[in-house]
Formats: sequence, structure tokens, C-alpha cells
Amino acid sequence: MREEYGAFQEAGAEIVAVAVADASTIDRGVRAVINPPYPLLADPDHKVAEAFGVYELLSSNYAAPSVFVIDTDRSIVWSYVGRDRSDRPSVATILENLP
Amino acid sequence: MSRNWSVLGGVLLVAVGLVLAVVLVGPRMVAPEPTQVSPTETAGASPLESPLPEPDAETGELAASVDGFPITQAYVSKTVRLNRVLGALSGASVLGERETLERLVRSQVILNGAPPVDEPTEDEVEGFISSLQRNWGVSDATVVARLEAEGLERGFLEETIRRLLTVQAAVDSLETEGHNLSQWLREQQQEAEIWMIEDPADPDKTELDGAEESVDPSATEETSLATEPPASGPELPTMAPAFTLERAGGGSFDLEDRLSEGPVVLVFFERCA
Repeated sequence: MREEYGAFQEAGAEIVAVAVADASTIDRGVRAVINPPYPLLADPDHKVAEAFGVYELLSSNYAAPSVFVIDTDRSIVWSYVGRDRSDRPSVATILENLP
Repeated sequence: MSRNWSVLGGVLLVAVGLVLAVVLVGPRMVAPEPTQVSPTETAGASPLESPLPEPDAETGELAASVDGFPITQAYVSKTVRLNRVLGALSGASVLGERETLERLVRSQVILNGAPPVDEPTEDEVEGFISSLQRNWGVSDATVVARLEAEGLERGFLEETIRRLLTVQAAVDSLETEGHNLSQWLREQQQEAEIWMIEDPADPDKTELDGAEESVDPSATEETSLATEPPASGPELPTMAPAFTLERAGGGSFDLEDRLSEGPVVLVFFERCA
């Protein structure tokens, strides 16, 4: 993923990951393990997940794994909602759909 | 219908979906009792022609077999119980036996097909378990007690985490080699000799294809909801709502601020364990 991160940066896009969890939990659980180069955001009240329509799509208390490509005017130019926990689009697919 | 296996989430998903990802982990295989096998041929897979491994002292009824690697029902049961323990600690939902089995099969397909990778060290396994415990705010003794209540030993947790990390390393290795993981997995599953017992809850369902099968029985549409979701799909916004969120490790992130610099790829993942 680190390698692919560079491809996103070259395309002028930023990856941002959001979890329905508080920041300290993410900090301990994710940053401590993988420390990714992109921002990890805490959405403990799941307001953002709800606003994007992906909260509890698959199971209670969870945001469905999903990807939104947001252009600079805030329009969502591409999106992908996983059908299960391991369903994610490929990096190449996301890159192809960057504005 | 297609289901792309995690690529973007390759690293992220496993680390984040700590508990749930545990079910990706395959068993330390114990040999089956071939006479008790009631296998079902996998779609696209050739019949299992090679003999099953010799049974040993720890024989059990076979739940599945992947290229001769058996997955016993006893192991599936243990994995389900482990996930019950972890789910109770983390508040995560717990997968059923069937879904657990399917994930075990999928992880075995990965382990069989990916280039060999080093197993994680004891320190890495223990470090992972420690990070889980810190997340949950529980002591090791509590975890051990919960495991014992389910008839499990800590060693099974260690073994499962070791397997999880090995699968993850295999996935990383494939990514490094430039594979499209979803495509790779589909091909592997078509080539693999996969046997699985029939699902007693669904006698008509006799196929397993992790790349094609829907885990969510209510989901029937394509997974890719490019801009315009199908009518039956979730209602997704066409404009991103403005938000500011706290950033792990300090600071905050404001979407609009960041959009002034360029597009943003927003990735939701499941709640941390």
C-alpha cells in the first residue's frame, strides 16, 4: 500500500482512511501496527459514515468498507461499497477513477 | 457478480479489522477421517483426485479440503469459538460457522498459491496480541480466562494470529509482485481442488466460490456502485458532506481544506477492534 500511496500522490490525490472508532483506539490498534503514510481519521459518533450512507450497511456498529473519490468541488465522482468485509476495489481501479 | 478481494485494504483491513480478520486465518491442519467426508465439488474446480492426507491422532470430520489441505469441522468450531471470544471483547459481530469456513478456505487458497513467506516471529505474534489487548483494555489473564471458558487455550489464539500474519504477508507479497488480488484469487480458486461439505442450512447450495459468492444474502447487485448506485443499493450522496474529524496521532482533518489541494480518496473501514 505504501507503494501505491505514491501513485495517489503523483495523481495529486490524498488517501484518507476513516474508522468508526475513537482516535486513541485507532492510534493504538492501527498506527501502532502499520503506521500508514496517509491520515487515519476517527469517526467515533459515526456521523461521517452516516452522512456518506455507509454506516451499518452490513452489520451493526460498523461502516461498510467503501471508497469515495471526491473531486475538489466536493462532488463524488466514483464510489464503491463493499458487499462484505473483504470486498474492496483494487488500487488500479481507484486510480482509474480519479478525476 | 464479482467480489474484489481486498487490495486497498490489504494492509489496512487486516490490521483494522483485527478481530474479524482472524477468520481469514486457516487452521494448523489436522488430518481428516476420509471415510467421513461428504465433499462437494467446487464450481470450476476439478474433482479431488489426489488422496487425502493420512489421518493422524487428531482426526476429525472434514469440513473442507483445499488442494489436499484438510480443514476439519473441529477446527472450524474452534475458530468460531475463538471469534466469539474476540467478538465479545471487542464488541464486533461474530461470523457464523459457514462464513468462517468459507474464509478459512479462502485463506488456505492464498497460502497455497502465494509465494512462500516467512512465518512471523514469536515477538511479532505477541506484539500483535498485546496491541489487541491494549485496544480492548483487558489483561492477558482476562483473555486467557475467556478462552478457557470456550474450551480454548491461549496457544490457539497465538496460532491463529500467526496464521493471520502469514496470510497478510502472503497478500503483501502478491501485491508487491503487482498482482491484481481479486483476479488472482479468482483464478486460484478456479484452479484449486476445493471440497466443502454441503451447507446444512442451504441444501441447494453446493458450490463454494469465494470470489463469486455473496456473503450477504440480501445483496444481489454488482458490488461496484460507480456514481449511480442501483435502485436496490444503498443511497449514497452525490456530494460529499463537509466534515472535520480528529486524526489518530494528533491534529484534525478538514475535508474542504484538503480538497483545496486536490481530490480526496475517502476509505471507510470497519470499526477498530
